[in-house]
Amino acid sequence: KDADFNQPVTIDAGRQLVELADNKVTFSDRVVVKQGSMDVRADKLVVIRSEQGLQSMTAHGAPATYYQVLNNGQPVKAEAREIHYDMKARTITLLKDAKLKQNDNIVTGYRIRYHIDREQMEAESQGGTDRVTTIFLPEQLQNMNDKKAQD
Amino acid sequence: MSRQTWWFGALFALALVCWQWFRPVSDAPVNQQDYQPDFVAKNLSSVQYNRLGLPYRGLDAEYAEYYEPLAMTLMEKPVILLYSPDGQPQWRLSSDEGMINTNDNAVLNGTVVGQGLQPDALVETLTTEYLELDFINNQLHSNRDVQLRSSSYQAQGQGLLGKLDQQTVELLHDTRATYINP
Repeated sequence: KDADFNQPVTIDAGRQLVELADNKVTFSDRVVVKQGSMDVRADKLVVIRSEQGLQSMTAHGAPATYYQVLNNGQPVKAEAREIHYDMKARTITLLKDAKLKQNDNIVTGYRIRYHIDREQMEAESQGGTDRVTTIFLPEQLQNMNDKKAQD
Repeated sequence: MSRQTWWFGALFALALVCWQWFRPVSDAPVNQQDYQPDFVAKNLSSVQYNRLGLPYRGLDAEYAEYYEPLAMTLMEKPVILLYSPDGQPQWRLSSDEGMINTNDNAVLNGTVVGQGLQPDALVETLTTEYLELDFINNQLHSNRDVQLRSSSYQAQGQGLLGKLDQQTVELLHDTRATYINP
């Protein structure tokens, strides 16, 4: 939700290493990130900050998981071995064994980029035998057909 | 009771009294000898320079006692100033009490405050109740609760390892960080 982005980000972890020269903090050992309705869990998290504030957070896990409630009140869930959260662009990039679930639709692939504001998603495979898979539930399909019939 | 038993009883009582009487007044353990400071300083201020003539450590204290045999200095309200290799002030460490073991380490106790002196540092203030400064490895250690703070970042945890040369500060257990206006 839009309100999430103005909330403080709290991060719980077993350890945290502050690298002053690089303005970087690395959290490890059962990392839990919360910002409003957003909830990210990972084994390791790297947070980069610049003078303009928080720039990005990269979560690593087996898998790392992401959960957030959108403006429409629907939750979006995602998991991947690497989740990159760009605070300024408000995008989530899922990398390696990426899986994203929204309104019971499931998308899997090598890389999934999700634009939180626009609720838009781009999914890519690694090429070769790797494929992007999208599963629409019948109900969703019916809604889409109804919408087409009305247009 | 025969006369002989009385005699032994009296002799034993006499021996007990003599032992109490002639026992040394206090047999305090040897290591609690009464050391006297070799010198005492008030409003002490000192700076140490490296071979290049650059400052690398400053020490101020409201009161200090130096003990030559122990190579130790006890201080009240100590302030230790740490410089980066190129002579820029990096950290200012202060506390209620402190102790320096010459050329080895410094121990700071009671309301320990570390201030990062580099501009726009991610950590501007470090606070704890106990901090050890290892001169040999140029590291900071604590096994207590530690808080790190700056305008947009607050963190707390248990235990600290600071590596001054690498400019890293690590909280070791049960940590929580908050980015205030992300």
